[in-house]
Amino acid sequence: MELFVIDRSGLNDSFIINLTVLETQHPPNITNPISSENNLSIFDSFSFDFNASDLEDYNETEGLLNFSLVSSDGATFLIVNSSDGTVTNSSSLLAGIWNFSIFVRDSSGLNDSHNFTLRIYGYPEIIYPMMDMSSIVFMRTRQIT
Amino acid sequence: MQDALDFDFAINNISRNQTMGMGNETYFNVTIVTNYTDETTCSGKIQLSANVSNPKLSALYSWNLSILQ
Repeated sequence: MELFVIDRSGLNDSFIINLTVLETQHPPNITNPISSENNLSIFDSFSFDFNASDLEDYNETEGLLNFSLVSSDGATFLIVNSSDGTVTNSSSLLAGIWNFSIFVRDSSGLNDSHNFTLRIYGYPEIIYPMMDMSSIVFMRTRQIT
Repeated sequence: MQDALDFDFAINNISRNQTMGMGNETYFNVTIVTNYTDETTCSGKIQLSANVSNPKLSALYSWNLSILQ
């Protein structure tokens, strides 16, 4: 940048200021985090489209953001489309409490993440008494006064 | 899950006790009060059923039941 000054007599002076502009990258942001606890049954399917925004890479439609999904419990039935952030089940849901983390990374390597839990219910089971027991007998007692 | 499960105990499809129990493979006690009309001395065995539910699914269990005086 050059600073230039001139007086009424026409004399002038100038000097140059060199500006160094450092770009600060901004991390992406998941804009629609799923609720942290989600109840499902083994017969349900799961689909959730995570959205993200980024000052430099805009959003997932630009193709510069990369989504990934991690299960701390080793669940393999959920997959994520790395470009659009859609998480779906690739196989039947398994009963249990499963913890996941969704990550989004921008082109500068900065991340945002969100943790969520799926509580997947199977059929409740009474393990005792078993149904094939021959019978249950209640003995009524009678008090005569 | 170890959630609280909802148990509905019935004798011949008439609910006698609704209670909550933990689904953690431990025993819990249920009290079912019968009366004289439930006695099976003459009628033969009747059915004790338990409908057990979690927030998403339920299962029905049944046992033959004799109530003797």
